[in-house]
Amino acid sequence: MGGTTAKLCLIQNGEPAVAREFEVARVRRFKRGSGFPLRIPAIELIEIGAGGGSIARLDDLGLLKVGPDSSGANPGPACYSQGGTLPTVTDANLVLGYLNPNYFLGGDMALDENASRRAINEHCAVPLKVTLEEAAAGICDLVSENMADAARVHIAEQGEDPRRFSLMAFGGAGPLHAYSVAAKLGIRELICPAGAGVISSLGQLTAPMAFDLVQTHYGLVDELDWKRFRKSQADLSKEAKSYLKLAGVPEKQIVLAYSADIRYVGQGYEIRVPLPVGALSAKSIPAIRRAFWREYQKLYGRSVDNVTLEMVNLRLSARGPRPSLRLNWQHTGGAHGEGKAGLIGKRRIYLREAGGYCNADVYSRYSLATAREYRGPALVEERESTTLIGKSGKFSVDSHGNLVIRLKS
Amino acid sequence: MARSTKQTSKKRIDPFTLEIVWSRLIAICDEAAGILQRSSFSTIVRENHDYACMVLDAEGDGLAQSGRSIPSFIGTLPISVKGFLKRFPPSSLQEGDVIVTNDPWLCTGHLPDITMAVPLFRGERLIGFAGAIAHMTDIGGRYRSPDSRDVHEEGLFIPPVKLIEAGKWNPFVVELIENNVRVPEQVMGDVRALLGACAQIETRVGELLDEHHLKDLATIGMEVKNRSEMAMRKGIREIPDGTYRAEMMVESYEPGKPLTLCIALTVKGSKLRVDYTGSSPQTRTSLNAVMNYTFAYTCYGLKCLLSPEVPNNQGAFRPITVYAPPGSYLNAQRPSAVAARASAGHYLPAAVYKALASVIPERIPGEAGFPFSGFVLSGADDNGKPYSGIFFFAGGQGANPMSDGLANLSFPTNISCIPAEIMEREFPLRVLSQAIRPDGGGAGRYRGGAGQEVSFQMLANTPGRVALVYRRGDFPPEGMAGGGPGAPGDILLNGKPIPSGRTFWLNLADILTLRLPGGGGYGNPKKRPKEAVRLDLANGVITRRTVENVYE
Repeated sequence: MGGTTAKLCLIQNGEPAVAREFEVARVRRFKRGSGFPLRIPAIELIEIGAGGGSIARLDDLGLLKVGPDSSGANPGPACYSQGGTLPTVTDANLVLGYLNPNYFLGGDMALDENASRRAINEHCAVPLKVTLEEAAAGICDLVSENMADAARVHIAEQGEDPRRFSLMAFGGAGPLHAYSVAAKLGIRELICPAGAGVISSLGQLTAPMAFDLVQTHYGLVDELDWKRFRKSQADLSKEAKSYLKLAGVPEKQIVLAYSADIRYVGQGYEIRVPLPVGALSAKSIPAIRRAFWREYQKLYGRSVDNVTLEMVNLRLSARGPRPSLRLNWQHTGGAHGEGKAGLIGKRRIYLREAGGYCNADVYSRYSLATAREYRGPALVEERESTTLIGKSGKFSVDSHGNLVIRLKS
Repeated sequence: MARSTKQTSKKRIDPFTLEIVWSRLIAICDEAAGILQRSSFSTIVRENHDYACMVLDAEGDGLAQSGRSIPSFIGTLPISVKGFLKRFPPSSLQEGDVIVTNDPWLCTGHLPDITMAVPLFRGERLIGFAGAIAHMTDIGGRYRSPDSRDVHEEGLFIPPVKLIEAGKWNPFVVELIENNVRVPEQVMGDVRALLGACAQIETRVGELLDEHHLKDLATIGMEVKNRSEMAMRKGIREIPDGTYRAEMMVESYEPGKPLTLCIALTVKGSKLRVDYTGSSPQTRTSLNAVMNYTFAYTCYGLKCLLSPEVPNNQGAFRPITVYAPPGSYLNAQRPSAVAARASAGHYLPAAVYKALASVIPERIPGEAGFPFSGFVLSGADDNGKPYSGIFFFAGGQGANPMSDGLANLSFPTNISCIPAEIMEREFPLRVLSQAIRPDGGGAGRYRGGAGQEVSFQMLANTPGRVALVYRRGDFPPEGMAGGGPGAPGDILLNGKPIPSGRTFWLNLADILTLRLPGGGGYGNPKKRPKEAVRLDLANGVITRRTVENVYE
């Protein structure tokens, strides 16, 4: 979650899902179906208009809406004092005590809390006839709900249950809202990696070199010409290897994984089914069929076993080794106190789950002790982000510098 | 039943919880629609999105619907569920029941749409329904024939029946359906897909109520309906009181015998009544709409105009009444043929807009190039395998008072056009060309969107039967506020024009060409900015002749 949008991707067994279609240039912001569909493989993720700059307003029905309009970085939230007067998610976070006005961007940028109060009062609290804090908490709750809603639909579309996953949160605003999103989704573990604001760039450095190729291979699974099929596999592998070699990956380090898009005859949506390893032949059909049923059952909760299967595409994912990077986080926090085991103070924050104001411990991300369990409610501050841990959360730091937060189930 | 919902506390729900629960209900419907679409066996559901998923309360009022829904279904599904409740009162419903029907007069106005409702329970108590509708690829009979004389020729008629009772399938109903349709695997596959969608709604609504400690949907439903009703009333009040009339000519399936559509729209404070008295009697063809359908499309037109931002639910329709004289083609009576009801109903939002054009011209768009061309092709390929499919192509959108109309956008329905690749894979056809018609949209300060021209050739030796092609060639879409009309539609078989509604055969190598009508323009074309005209010309949207004759 950044300034204008939130994105979410489901990662299973260390692999992000890949979509076959990708929609670009949406005219109604982020609204599915309002853009142009491109039939290209892309990381399967959802994007919604929910960020720190998302604007809160009342709609025609007198209900509070947050986003997708955003004040962006300029003029930005009211508290930036750059001319913005509309209340945003960041303003709500400031009013509720989650953000430290003196330690935003490590203290490089002062925040005007009174401007946030004015904006939320005028545009939300007064017309809704609620207190300033209730309005601000409502804004935070709604933006989290928007993310949780989108996540729920997205995860269900892949036939999964969010409760089986951990939520990894990053982007400047991610760690502030992740606890609430996780609670809404019934997720019990939350991981906030170090360097929340720059994690995408890090990802680019740590991802293995890889090429995904696809070749139409149309026919009934029972009647496939396996010799031709193996030829297609060989052709794809030759092509992928030539690309990877150009990218500097030695041939013996290349790993190949074949899969096929298969469906019941008559259907129009295929399921990606991992293919058995080794040379395939008619003898592989039962294994392919079982793999299909397993995936179908997962997606739709049922499978029909007397309908013929049809293959549409053969896919190959070819990749090199993962770069072995060891991250070494240095203290870049600027003038931040270094209390005992990271504790730098206490702050009064407003928590809906606590029914009002309560005291939260404030920690410096840079001096938290490893091998120690901390308890919420707490705030962990770092230069580009702040992590909010709710009342019943417990957290610790792992050997990679990740904050690992456990929610009560 | 009414008693059952009134047991709940009347405590006011806070605006944050309301917003959260409301948007969740919509997300639940979207999730269900995703399941329906991805597990469907037909192109009409997958590619054309001819379906809807909905959460309804215990009274049968719609509370939320999937984003990609057919507009008319939003209006008809609640009417259907209320009808189910008459036949199957709450005391006769139990967990695991699934009701289906395709009764045109109770549901969507023609037989191919199967409407399904699953009662939702909280303990012993009925708290609402999961509802879903999808257009089946086939429903038997003289499927979608323009010249059917009554509904009995049009296919299998399934009265409201429990397809599943307390979790147990009724094998007789399944066999009845399987034995009366041409592609039983597809049809029953899609019925199962509907069931998957409803089951998902059931699970998710239960989780939602648990999470927010709600006993039922009553409190939420009341707030959702009341707020939506208030928004609609506010929209109606913005129109000055009075009665506004309009008349439209509608091309029929009997050449030279157009239908007349008469509308009188009366606004009184925050109430609105639409009266179609004076419209033509019901036809002897299948170009007839049932009252549900007329109601649904009238409301949809009004909703787009008066309260566009509020998510659809029953509350918005409360201040609106719609009347069409029984026996008119907009309120056709049993057992009239109704297969082509879309070609009748798609005119209704435009009729509403035409009536209001005299009082709020600054808010009324040019007419769209409706109705879509939705025709059926059936036959057998060279391996003897039968096929039957519905094809959709869209005309252009009317220009609105702020921007140009878009090309190939189906209004007022939400149908997507069928891609050429899918046509060629599923049917023995080769698509020769598919293009945006130059000069298709009406000229204007804002230009109407063009319809498409599509041309394809039959590849099978067995002739294919084409039914229900609509042309809209005689009365092209009108412009608004000085804008020009959209280009008229046309159907060409091997280059020769053929009229609306005729059933014909596509023999080997025959070429069928459809030209869809364009949307009307808005405002005086002479006032269109030079740069916009230049761009249109450069992009091939308009021709040089039009630039010289119309814009200069």
